[in-house]
Amino acid sequence: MTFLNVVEIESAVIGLAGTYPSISQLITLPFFTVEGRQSHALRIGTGNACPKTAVLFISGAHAREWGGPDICINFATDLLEAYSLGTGLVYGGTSYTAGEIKSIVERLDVIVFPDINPDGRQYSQKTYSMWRKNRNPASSGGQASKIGVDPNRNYDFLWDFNTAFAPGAQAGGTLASTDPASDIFHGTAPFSEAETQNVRWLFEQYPQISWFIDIHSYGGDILHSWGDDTNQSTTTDKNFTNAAWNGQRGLPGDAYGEYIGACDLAKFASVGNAMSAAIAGVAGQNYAVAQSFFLPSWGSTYPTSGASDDWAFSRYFTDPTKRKVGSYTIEFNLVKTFFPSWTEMQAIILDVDAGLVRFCLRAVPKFSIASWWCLLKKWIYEAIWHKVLPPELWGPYGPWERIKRIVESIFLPIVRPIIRNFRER
Amino acid sequence: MNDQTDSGGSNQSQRNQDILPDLYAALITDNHENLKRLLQTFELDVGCRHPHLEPNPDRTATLTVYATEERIREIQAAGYKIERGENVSALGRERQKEVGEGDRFKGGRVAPRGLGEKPGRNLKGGSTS
Repeated sequence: MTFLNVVEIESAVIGLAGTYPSISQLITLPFFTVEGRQSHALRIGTGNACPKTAVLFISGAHAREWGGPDICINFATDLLEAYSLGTGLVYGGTSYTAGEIKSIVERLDVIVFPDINPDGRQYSQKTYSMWRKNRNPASSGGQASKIGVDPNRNYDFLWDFNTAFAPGAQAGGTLASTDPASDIFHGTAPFSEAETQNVRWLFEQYPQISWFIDIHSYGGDILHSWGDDTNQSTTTDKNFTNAAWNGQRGLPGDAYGEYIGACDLAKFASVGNAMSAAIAGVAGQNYAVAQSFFLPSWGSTYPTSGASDDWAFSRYFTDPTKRKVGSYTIEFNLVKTFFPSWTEMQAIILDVDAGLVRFCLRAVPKFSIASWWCLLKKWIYEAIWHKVLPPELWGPYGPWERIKRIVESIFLPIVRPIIRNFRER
Repeated sequence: MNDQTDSGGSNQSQRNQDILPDLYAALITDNHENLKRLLQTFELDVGCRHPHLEPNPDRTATLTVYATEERIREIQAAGYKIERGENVSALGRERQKEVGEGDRFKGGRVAPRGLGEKPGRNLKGGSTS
């Protein structure tokens, strides 16, 4: 066994779709890379008549982070094999029952786009191993060192960082760059690159995507939004859409913090912790869960602009008719290297895939009284409330959100202990 | 899938290989403030999403960056304590030998097999490839 090359990644996806036609579907991405490659993704799930909650996994954005596509292909394969055989799945000390696998395949659409940047991967695996970006020469002026755009700075989230962020926010060297020679060059416009256009296309084609992970390396981290500034849950006016805060984002301890609902924040941490526990259960690897703005285990902050996870989460805030997407970045491998041996990588695949299965289980809609109530609420909101009234009223920054927050702050502290007590009995 | 072709990209890649220098994992040890200043002064390759810092007992930390020999000399000349570590480009070249050749899945006619254990799969006699 070896790392998958770019041809094999595409063949694997095609092969899985062909082997499991009743529970998977090949998705052909429409945008060709500059070197003429067309990518594929795979949808795993029974039936396609009624759109289900969807989960999207992408990887390979950064060319030198080789293991990501291998993680994705193995995850898809394991899920399809286990469901077809009617078995559970075991990753070291973490195991899942056949019923859990069944619930994922039957109640979710799991979409896996394993290699969003095949040109970069080809270059890294065949020529210059430390290559990070794609291979777009448009801004290079003919210089080899200036080829490429960082796909993970090219999404439409505060992409114009010179306007949106404080000048000091660049201090960590992670924000983005307008210099084509930089490894974090953000391109000529948001979504200027085929790689990110393909990801956006998936979100548009599958509007039911509610959960998202972008798989990167390395660090052993599970990161969640926001990545531009400190999270805060009190002031809705402080948000990335508000131009009044331009030039002030990206620094800790100042007036600006990015608004995120308290419930969303709690959910992000809870799902992240569940993934981390599943990973730790395999072979004891402890992945840290953190807001991506903060560097785990160190007090510094490292803002980013144009990153996939923030863009995916931000879509709901810029257009509240879109699904709210729980978005994460996983930095696999606790050892500081982009190039583990294949033997080491196999162990990492088991770790991370155990986390991805747990993530899917958290995304599976639960058919309890609470979930029926949730569905009813959603129906009332989306079918009636959202059709009749404008988003300015019920959207994430509108007065309805404020009312909800006040009600929650009064009732949740009372209701939560009662529910907990009831469950413990 | 248009993947078998390297078209012009391959020739250009070959040319670029001669131009792009090797990168080393360079370890820079200093206090928090000085490391922040370093990151402000030099645009450095710090990894994927954020820099990797190992705290030391003496309240300093060691930052890992990926840099050319020339850049390492510049950082050294700026007064930072920097240690040239592994040639990561060379490690990458070594690992390139562990990348698949050809197409083990034969254009999709063969499906991959998963690494996760499927308990009882032998009893059911399932085969997925």
